[in-house]
Amino acid sequence: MNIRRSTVIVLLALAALGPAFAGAGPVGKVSLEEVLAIGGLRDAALLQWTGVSADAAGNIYVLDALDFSLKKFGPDGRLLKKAGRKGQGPGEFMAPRLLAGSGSRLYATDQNVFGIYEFDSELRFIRKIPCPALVLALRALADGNLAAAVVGMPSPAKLLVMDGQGRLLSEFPLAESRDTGLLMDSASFALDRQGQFYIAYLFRDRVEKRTRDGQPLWGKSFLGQKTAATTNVQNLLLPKETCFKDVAVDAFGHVFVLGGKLSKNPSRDVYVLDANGALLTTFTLPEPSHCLYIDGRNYLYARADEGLTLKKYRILYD
Amino acid sequence: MTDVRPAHGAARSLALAAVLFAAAFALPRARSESAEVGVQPPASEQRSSCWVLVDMDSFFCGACLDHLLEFSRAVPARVQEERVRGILVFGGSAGPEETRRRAEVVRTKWQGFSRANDIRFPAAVDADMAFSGLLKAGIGVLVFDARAGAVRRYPLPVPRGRLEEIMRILVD
Repeated sequence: MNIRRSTVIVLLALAALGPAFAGAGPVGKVSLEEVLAIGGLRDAALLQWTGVSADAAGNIYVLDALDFSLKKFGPDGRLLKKAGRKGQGPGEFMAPRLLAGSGSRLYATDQNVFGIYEFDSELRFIRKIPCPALVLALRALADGNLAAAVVGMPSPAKLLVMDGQGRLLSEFPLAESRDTGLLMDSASFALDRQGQFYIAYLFRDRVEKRTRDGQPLWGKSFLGQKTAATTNVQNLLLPKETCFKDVAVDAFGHVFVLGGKLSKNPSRDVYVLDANGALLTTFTLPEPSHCLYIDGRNYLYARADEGLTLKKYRILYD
Repeated sequence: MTDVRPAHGAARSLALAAVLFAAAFALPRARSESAEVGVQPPASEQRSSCWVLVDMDSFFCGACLDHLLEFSRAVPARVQEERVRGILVFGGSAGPEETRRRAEVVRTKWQGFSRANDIRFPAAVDADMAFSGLLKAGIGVLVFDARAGAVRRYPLPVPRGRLEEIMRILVD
């Protein structure tokens, strides 16, 4: 490939990315512009979507908990393919939850299953990747590896990095101590381009940045040190309220943290941080969401209509 | 049309259910013995039926869905279509506009869910939130036992053994 051809390709790529990156710069304010809605109040295309991922071509993949399926939508929101049903066989789900994608591969979890299901971009089931614990959050890394936050019972919750066969490459504990109670260290996480982790704890007012091997870089609270209320169920201390729900990193390295029930606008407030954990701004999603996903072209995806609708937004930076 | 106002307690909901039950059984009487007010038709002319209260606020809960699917799998399709009705119950919301929106959400979710899982009984949205009290009291299934002239209540999941009991009542 000669230089002229490479330059043309780069320019074309930038032109394609242009609309999504409109107005990017120092962040004073973030707002959203809706560019696509899949499903709707009277449309059963989605029933209760749980996990979402988008590929480089703009196709959108969604897990749906009510029809136990994995669905593929085109960039225009048209349903292209649907796979899966209720069951425990290959390609079947009992309670589909998390979805992550990398290249032509998709990785999905079933809530009570120890393992990660691998599919290709045509939704063909490939295999079940073993995982030693239940997965709370899942990310597919560019190098083909997987990162997963897993439940710790009785040991503390952990963040694992595995290869595509499920072989453990590294791990570090998420908990600071063991006395916080069952599930109290549950977390979601995202990675930046250097492979460093941003961790948002679901039931603790804490967001952290850690190195690839788990060394803490910073830890912050954004809810006035609120603590999630707990309830005692058969001598197990279980959390009742969420502090944070999800975390994602945009194309510029800003960290988007979705607040939970303890936020001013529950499940709608998004805290935008810089790489050092400084709060740059906050904005509010139009409707409550259980997750926040930012794709490789810097579009943000969130829930609407209680899971009947998936909305795709362009992120606008002022 | 009967003016059905929202009931908040389980007792009021149960009373409402009893009124609706009576109304349901008044229909054959009105047809066959319209002149004889107050005369019950013979038990053989009555048909047992069943209402399933579906907690739409717990529709994200995998175990709750499993309980519903277990029930639906245990009841033959024809019995579901003829004898079973679903009531889609959801919790309070802020104002009539939001309640209408939630009713729409609930209706669409149910349509998709029942189609995907081959649930055959028809269902209606509890638009006036008349049944939330019953649901809070742990009642998932109301069976109108025509032979005994009684309403029986069951939780969801229906305990093993009780499902057979419901089936006997419905099919008898």
